[in-house]
Amino acid sequence: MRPIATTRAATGIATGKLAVWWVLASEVVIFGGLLASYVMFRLGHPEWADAAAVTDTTIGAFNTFVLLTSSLTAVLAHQAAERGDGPKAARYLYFTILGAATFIGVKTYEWWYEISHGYTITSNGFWAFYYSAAGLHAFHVIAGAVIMAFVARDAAKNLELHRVELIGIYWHFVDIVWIFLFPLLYIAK
Amino acid sequence: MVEPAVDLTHAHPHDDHAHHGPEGWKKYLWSTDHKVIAMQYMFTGMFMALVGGFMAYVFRMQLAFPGMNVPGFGMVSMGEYNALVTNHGTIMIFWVAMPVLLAAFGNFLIPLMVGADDMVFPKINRLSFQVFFVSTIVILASLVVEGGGFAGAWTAYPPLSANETYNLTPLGSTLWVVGVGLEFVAFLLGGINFITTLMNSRAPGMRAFDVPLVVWMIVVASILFMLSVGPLLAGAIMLIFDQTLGTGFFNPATGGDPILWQHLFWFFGHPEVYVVLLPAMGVVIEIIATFSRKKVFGYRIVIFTVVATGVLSFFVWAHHQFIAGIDPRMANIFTITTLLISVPIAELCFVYIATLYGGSIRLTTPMLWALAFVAEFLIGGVTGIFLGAAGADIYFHDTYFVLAHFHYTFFPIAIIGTYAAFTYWFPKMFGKMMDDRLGKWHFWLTIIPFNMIFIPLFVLGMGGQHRRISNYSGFSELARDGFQDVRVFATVSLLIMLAAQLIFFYNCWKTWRSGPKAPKNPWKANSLEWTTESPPPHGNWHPDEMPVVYRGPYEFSVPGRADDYWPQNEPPRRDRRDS
Amino acid sequence: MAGHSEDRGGLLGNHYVRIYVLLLALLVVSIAGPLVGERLDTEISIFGYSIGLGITLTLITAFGIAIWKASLVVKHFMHLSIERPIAKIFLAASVLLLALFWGGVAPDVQLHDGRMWENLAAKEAVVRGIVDDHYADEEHAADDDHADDPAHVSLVPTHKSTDNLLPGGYNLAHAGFWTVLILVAVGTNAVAIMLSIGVLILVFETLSHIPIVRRLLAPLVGIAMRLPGVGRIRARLLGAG
Repeated sequence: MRPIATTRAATGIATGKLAVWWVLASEVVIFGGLLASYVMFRLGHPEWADAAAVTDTTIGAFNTFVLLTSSLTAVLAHQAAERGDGPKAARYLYFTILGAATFIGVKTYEWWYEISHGYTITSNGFWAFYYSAAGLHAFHVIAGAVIMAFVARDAAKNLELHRVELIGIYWHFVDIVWIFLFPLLYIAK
Repeated sequence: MVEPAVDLTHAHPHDDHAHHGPEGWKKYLWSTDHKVIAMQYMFTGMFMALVGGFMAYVFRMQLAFPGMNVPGFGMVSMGEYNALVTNHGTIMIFWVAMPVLLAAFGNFLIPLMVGADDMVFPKINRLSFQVFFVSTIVILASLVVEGGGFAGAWTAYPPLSANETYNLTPLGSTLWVVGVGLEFVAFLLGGINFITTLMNSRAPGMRAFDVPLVVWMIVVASILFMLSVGPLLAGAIMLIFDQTLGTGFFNPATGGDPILWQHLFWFFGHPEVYVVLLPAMGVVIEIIATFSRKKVFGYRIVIFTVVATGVLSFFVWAHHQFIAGIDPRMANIFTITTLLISVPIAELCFVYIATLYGGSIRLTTPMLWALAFVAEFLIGGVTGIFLGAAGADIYFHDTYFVLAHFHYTFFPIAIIGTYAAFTYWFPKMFGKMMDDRLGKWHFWLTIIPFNMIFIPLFVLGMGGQHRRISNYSGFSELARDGFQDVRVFATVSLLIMLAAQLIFFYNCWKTWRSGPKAPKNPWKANSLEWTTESPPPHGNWHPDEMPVVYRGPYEFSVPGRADDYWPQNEPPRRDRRDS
Repeated sequence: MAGHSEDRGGLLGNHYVRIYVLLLALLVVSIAGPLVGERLDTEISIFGYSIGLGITLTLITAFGIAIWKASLVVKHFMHLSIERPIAKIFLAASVLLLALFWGGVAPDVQLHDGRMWENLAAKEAVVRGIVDDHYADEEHAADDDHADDPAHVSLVPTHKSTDNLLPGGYNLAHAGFWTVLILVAVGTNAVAIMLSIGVLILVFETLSHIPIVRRLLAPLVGIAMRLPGVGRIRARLLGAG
């Protein structure tokens, strides 16, 4: 039984979706604060370019591809949910979770490789930001995948289908953060 | 704002209203009722106020009588003094002002005032308190771990906060950052709930400009908090890495920059002042309107002013850093913006005075607190002008003048505002009427010693007394001219003020035991919370009697009516909306 | 939002996949651009600033395309374009706040020189980093701070002077900084002027309740209220009361 308050929508935006927009607004400033600090240091410290040259663009590009693909499956899940096809939405969500797992797996290999070659978080300012920003992002990927598993479990039984869109919006935001992290950490040398 | 979409198909989901949520002790662990969560926030906040007040007592005793064996604490070493001062500031702002004013009254008032039966996300609301409770335990634990509590001031500037060889508190400082970070997460969750509840679940007929001002102000404060706290959360992650992993984000030797932390901190820290100020100002205007029996002067202009305050509050942060090594050109800009922000706040004070003018004023206890808020906060605001101007700030920085200034702003916010709200809504929260005579004794015995504490500190500050010294007897130039007598005077005043709080607790206990039962609407006010029982039942109203709103919340003394108040939910006799 | 799927019908699936293909194409461009950019050494001179074509190409393909990709995801996958304005306003506000944050902090943290100050520690860090690369490990092998620091010994030396990092270098940062500050100053002043007008009206309203003031001011009020729009603004500010 739900409180009456949860059933009202005076703005015309469903309550859950409105809250997701608020979550994103606060996430934008969290990531933004970190990345703005990074950009300031990066512009002030040309010597960081040498550290940035070590990062592997191929791995970064592959992970971008993985996240873009998982975004596509997330939006296709939303499309299926809108048509009332819960099991199909759940299948697409499982694909998205698979994308998240691939992303984390590749990331683990990449970090293991870099750390084993001596580029640790304390090596220099660039690496400190590299591990902090990518780590914060990876934490969001994991959290999103876990929540998505719960949403998919319900969606497979045709329950709470509106949540498919909400987790999708969050997932696209995680994708967007990576779209900016990729040039900041990998391409701009 | 959008007109509310009245969805009548959902008006009766409570067919089985016998279900009231968990009972007994489980109620306090797992209840999702906004009133229970509000009480949890309030009592946690009050407990932390006692902790913070005790710290103030200990270090004021040390300042007045250096080297004294403080009763209840013992000798105060320099490290302990710094830890006490640091955690007094942290606790009073993050664990007293925020939970009581924003979370407790926000949780209690928002659903009742907008005519909803609960928050829109009751479980997230519960999670918010649970995270907050964990953060409380973490900050209390940081005081007793090996090495003692964090002692780098509540602003936690690196390198003092980042390097354990400087601060000597390897565990305390990390726990402090973790505790503050968790607290931010709790209020982010709560803030999303507040904003969404106001935006989406207003009662049928309640337009954006029919919402009581206190709700507007709490929600604007939540928005400010959400949009400003992000960079500091990122900064907290960086600081924890600096402390534990040895990265160099804030270490110049490895290419970092300690000024960056100051920017990250104050980019949040200054809007934070308005995060706690706005709810207090909202409480005050509710009380002034009710006890002047007069419509709030310029309801809309208040809302526009509050929004303008919120926007401007993002543009002033660097006035805390005038002597921290920022570019002098930045000091010019931030001086201008800082002086500008006094305009909207002054405007709110004009609104209070204009509302009082010609009203039929009733000097009840809540009204006394509200009037005291305006008077005392004005002193805080006016002294802020000195500190906002870079030229004067260079001389006043880190003296007792700064300390007295922000206590003249934060004391009215966190203590006077809270007492005003507590005494005003006590009948609604607990269903009993408080003793007015004891309340007035408590009021006068708090307000007079408060001024006796902090006006002398202005004098000390203008005399050049530095803030962060635990024992002035070692500094001949600071211990001259009877300054020590002034410090003793302030400490004695503090003891009187702390003792006066016993009256308040006695009053609460007495009311709880034998107070008269409160009627539905003891103050004859208009807003929706006064239309339900005192205290409100689970779900606030019977599901078949959810309120419908016909007018704004301040229709006092409307000509042509027998009563001098006009509840928001009373149907008009004519068909036309009266507004 | 509701009604969305009905609008586009069966084309929707194709639509999302089309956007996805476009995103992948942009990804390829954003990788290829810098590869070309690194090999371009041509410099052109505009207004006295020498601008490296290669670095410009790198920055545009890296960040311009990132913005394009993000906007595609926001518009087509998150459906923000068909959301109510209130959500857009708050998301835009959170992004603008970052610009404000950068504008206020960059002069202290990003720049190493200002009016009457210079950040010696940061300058030393820059010099140390670049010098280490040029002289590899011969001179600094004995230096404990760097001997075991792989970031300083195993890298290919590259010339990256500050001026090449952005077209215009510090001057661009200065220009951005002053633009933000001027916007802040103009904006806050406008708000203050409007608020002052509000305060004046409030003071006026308050005073006009005192009989003698009211009698003195009556002729002035008569004139003021006849000015175009004044009555309307006053009614709007004080609410429909």
